[in-house]
Amino acid sequence: MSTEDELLRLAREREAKIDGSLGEMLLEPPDRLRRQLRAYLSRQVDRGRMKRTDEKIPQLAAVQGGLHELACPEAEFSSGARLTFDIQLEEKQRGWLLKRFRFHVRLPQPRSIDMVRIHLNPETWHDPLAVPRCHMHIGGSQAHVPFPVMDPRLILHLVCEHIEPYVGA
Amino acid sequence: MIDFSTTTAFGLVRRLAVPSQDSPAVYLLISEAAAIDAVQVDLGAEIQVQLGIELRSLAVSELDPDRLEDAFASARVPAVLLITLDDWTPKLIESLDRNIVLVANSGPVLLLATFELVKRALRAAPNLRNRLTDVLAIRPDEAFSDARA
Repeated sequence: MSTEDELLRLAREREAKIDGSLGEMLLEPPDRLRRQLRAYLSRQVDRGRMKRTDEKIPQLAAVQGGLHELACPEAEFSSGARLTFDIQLEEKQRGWLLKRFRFHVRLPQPRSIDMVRIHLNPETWHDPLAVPRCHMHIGGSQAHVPFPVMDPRLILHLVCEHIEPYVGA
Repeated sequence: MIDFSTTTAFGLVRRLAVPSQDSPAVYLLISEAAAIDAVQVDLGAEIQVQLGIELRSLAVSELDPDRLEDAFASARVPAVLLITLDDWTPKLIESLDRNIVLVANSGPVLLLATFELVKRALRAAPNLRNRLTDVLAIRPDEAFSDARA
């Protein structure tokens, strides 16, 4: 087996584990998750980490395919960094499962990195070595860095407390 | 109608999250009759999410004006007490007014009613009126934006 084949095998194993953990990760129903994310953003405002956010954010909408989407069109950090995210949930017999998310943080000047994006794609790509289902982009790079899949509330916390303050600073 | 500040359950519970020992929170909330059920659901969800405690919801029909202390006694566990004035019951309003210290010391208390009932309650209960933290109009949360399906 070539080195490339070995890497592809490992990538496929990783994707299978991600699919398995997504199938077991039951989330709160969309309206409750919306309230939790909104409360989290408002606590960030209380702590002076974010500027005032709109009470209607995140917005909940039913989208195609019976999915529910929570969207934050924009929230602004006190640093000037801007966060957008959307999360899609799918209802299964056992409860609500995570289908897709995109978290984008645009970092202000003079940070050396202008943007971080964390994506969970709705499906595994045919070449998971090139595009892992859950990945991170740093700056404008098209490189897809594998990223651990986790509850969107944890991603939001990670973004607010560990990525936004330090990346490129 | 007098213009009261309008809030949602989210905004109200944000206020409750900053308790003050000196001024226990007693809010009188005005809702459209058709929205009362939705407001109750919102209050329950926001209190659980933001404060991590339960909403104890009582309707006036569940309260005995002569045994008000029983209803408030079980409020000793951390909870927010919501009393929905779904009918005009002068005896209960008088009892709440007479027992205002008990009401005010029972942790956050929310009284929810239509504008007509609120007007009557404010006229009939001067002690309660004086101890209110605020009178607010409350509307249901708009959970869903326009569906794009």
